[in-house]
Amino acid sequence: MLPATSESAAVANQLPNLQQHTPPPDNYGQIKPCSHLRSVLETKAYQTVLNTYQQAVAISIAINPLLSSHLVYQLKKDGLKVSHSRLDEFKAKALRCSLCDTSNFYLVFVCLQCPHVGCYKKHGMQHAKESGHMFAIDSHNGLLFCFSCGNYTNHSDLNRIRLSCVAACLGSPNGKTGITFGNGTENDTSFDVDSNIDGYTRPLGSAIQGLKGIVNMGSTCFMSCILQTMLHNPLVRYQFFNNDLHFFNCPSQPHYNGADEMIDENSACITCLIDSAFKDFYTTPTAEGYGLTNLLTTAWYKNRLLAGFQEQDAHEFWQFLLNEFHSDHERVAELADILLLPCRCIMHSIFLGELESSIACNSCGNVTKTVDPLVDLPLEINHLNENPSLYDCLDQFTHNELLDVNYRCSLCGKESKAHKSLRIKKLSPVLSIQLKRFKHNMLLDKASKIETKVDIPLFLNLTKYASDWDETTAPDAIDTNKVYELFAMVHHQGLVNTGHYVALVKNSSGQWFKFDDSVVSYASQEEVKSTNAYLLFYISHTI
Amino acid sequence: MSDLEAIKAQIQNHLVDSGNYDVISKQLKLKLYECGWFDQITQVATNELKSAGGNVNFDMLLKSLKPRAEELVPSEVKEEILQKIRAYLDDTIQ
Repeated sequence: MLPATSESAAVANQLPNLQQHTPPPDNYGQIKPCSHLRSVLETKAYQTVLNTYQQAVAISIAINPLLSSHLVYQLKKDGLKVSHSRLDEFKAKALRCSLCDTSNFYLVFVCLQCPHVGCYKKHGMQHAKESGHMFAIDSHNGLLFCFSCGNYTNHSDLNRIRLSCVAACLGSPNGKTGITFGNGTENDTSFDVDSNIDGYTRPLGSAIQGLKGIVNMGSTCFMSCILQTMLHNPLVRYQFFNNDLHFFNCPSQPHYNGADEMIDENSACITCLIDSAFKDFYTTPTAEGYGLTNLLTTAWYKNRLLAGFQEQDAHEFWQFLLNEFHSDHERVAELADILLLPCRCIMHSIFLGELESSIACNSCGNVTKTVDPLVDLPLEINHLNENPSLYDCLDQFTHNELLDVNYRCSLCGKESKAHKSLRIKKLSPVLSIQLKRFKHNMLLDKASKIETKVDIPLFLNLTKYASDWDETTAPDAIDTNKVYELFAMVHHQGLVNTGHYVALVKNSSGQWFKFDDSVVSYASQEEVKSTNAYLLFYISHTI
Repeated sequence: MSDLEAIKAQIQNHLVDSGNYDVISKQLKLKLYECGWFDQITQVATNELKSAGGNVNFDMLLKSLKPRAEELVPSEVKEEILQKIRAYLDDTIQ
């Protein structure tokens, strides 16, 4: 946790702004039309197909658990709102297999040519065979299925309809956007990447995964591991790939961009450095490790303690990077005269949440709530039961604790005992967790390390740690918007001062990689699960 | 439709209409995510697609993945969810 900054009060809603520009979460647009679909769309039936498809997609959206909570339906005749239970009735009726009379848990095929609805298991296929209607819309994902090919098929016109239906239901002013979608209608996101764009050369396929080691320059692994977690954080990467503000306005750019390498007191800039690291990682096809010289120089000018030849705490380095991102952003935005509030820097837009602490007076029961910025969750791993999991650490962090000192209540004015508890008020897109393995004994001036193994869930359900959790009426409810996916982990092995840091990172297709200085290797899920984590990075993943 | 099928259909529709299906399937989904099952299946499917080199359609892929996917569900998860379904059935059917 960082101390409150002046901007923290104004931190709200920068996420939707980030999400608006991110591409849709599906790549269905890349599915090409099959020969059957192509020939149908060349006939007079074109418009009918599009109209029917649009209707079917509207239904498939109504049953999509990720979207349905954002939807408001009104009756055509009087504009009255349709209640959720009414809607469930309609859905159950509309999506019921014509032959076995079940909704098959909403997994059905809606025929493109007639009103037939058939279950996945059997009757969708049976109908296609018997009637020769070879296309049906899959109610689950809104895609067109071709029974002749036994495959999904798509067409740019159909894809546009699908995306605009989604965008329309999220576009309402009171619709909270929980997921990311492109605008889909005008600028088709599936633009032709093979076409030539001036000044742009496609990086090689081997480079775009960004799998590159970092050369150890003498106890620098505490920097390398953090750098890897940043370079493979999809949201941080997105910000750097679109960071025109910094690129065009920071006077330090030329020094980091190959013109010269004159980095001194005045030109040292962490954002420029990370920017060049991104370029290096994602465009150079060689497996050669990345050199840290410039980072060491830059970090030295910014914070002399960090760049000595001594092993440092990776977590402190992570905090240092975030603070630099923020101050670089402020500096450059001021130069460009577009300093906006709330702050759009990486720390504020990606990592910053809010923690609510409640103090309940034992005498009158009055609860006083205060909200503080939350950059990461520091979790104690002492005093836990045997074989603790991360959930036990979170339980301990949020549990109702009796304060040691007496508390003067602002309502009843009495000084008495009080209970305090912590809850997450606002979750950030990326949640960073530190397991407090290092203890410093003030009396002996000696540091020690706790090696307790903590079970780390690969996906984390934070529903009951949020301030809006309803303990009494729905204790087991799962808020699908509060589920987080583990995508990076930093592990510390060995002794306190002489140990070694290693990063584990998951790519977009679910494969884990181990980054051990200059060596990058595949890692299995089991290896990740059995690694003793120090820092954890979870990213929001609506399920 | 046989009597058994009719009863099955009736139960299923009640399960869905009562909202119990949503609750149970959400819990199952979370469990499968937490234990890494989703990522495992993604890996298996990706590898399958790569080794087939484009000569595979959805039906074939599903056919080969389904038994393996079911097998990979940890037995604790299976048991926990089955218990929830049993509890629902005991509650509903008299």
